Amino acid sequence: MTTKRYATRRGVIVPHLVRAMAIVGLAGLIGVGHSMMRDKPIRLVAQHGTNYLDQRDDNIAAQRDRLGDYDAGAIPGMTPEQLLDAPVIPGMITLGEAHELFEQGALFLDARSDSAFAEGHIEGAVWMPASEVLMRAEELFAFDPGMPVVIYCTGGTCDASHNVQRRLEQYGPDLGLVFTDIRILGLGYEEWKRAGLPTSEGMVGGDG
Amino acid sequence: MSAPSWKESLLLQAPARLILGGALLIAAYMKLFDHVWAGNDPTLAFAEAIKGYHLLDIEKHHHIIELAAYAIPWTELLVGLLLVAGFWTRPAAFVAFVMLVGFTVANAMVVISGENTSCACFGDLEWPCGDTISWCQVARNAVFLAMAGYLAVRGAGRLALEMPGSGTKSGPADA
Repeated sequence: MTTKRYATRRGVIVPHLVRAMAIVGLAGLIGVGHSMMRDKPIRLVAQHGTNYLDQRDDNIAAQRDRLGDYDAGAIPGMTPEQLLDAPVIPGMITLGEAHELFEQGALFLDARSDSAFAEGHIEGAVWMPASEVLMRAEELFAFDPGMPVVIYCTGGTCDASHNVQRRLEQYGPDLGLVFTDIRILGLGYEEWKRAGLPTSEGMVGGDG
Repeated sequence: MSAPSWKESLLLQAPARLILGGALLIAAYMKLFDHVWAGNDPTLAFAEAIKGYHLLDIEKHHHIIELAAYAIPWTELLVGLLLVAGFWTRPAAFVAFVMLVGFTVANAMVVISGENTSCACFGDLEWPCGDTISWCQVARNAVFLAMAGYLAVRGAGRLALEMPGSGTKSGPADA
């Protein structure tokens, strides 16, 4: 390519690149204006499995108070019968209480990752991590809003269930989903499975 | 490069501009204004969707996700308007091309990783694909990518605001 042709081509391309940058810059400026007009910041919920307690209080003694009688170290050695009544963090429900609700036909929501859900989940549970609540809300329209909803993740201090609960409470009314009785399972799916309670595999939930 | 003929403008450039520009306008509208799809906060819904791709660590890079949630829809809106109008077509198509490369790579990475993630590309209008990211979305993006690449090279054609002699330099006149 001769110097003249190169200069000519560059003279054509450079203005286009400058305009492309102007488009991106203008869009960015509008985006900045958009963000400044919001009355609340974007609060993305934590990834699956983030520690429920660490996010709220750095004070270890205060965290211990929140745990109540819950003892994560004792759970691996428990028999299936003991698991049903194993102490949980105050405010959550035990495995036995969750099983009673299961028998009554409560809606179970699985807040874990999709791969964990596919490997195994509580029978009839619907995969609904917090990040998907807005997108998958329609999957819940078929359920009676008056029935209890039990949300579970990996158990203990796993934060994913609480994130789903917050999303449902925050956006449920706008989405037409007003669940009046939302519970958090204090133990996780593995303990449910160890207790010999009903489970399913695969991505299709809501089959119970 | 030869200037586009009326035939090429009518059969290729104008349809490509309208289809690609229209798709980008729909995508932008769903991300910015569609409260039916996204509850009462479309921007948050889109940020959650970006996070759902699991390409970034939310603890370290949440600011990038938030930036993208604000910037991508407005970029799609501007580029869509320019393409439909046929003004600054080559720069707009170039920006669309770069964005689509990113979207296509991100979608392909999600499919390969086996994640079950919502695309959130067009809200709940994911035709002809389903809501969950699959090779269908990758193929759809590849078609848009081809259109963007073609328009970036060939320009708006003759059925556009920047027709030869209209005073802008990004039309066929400087091809």
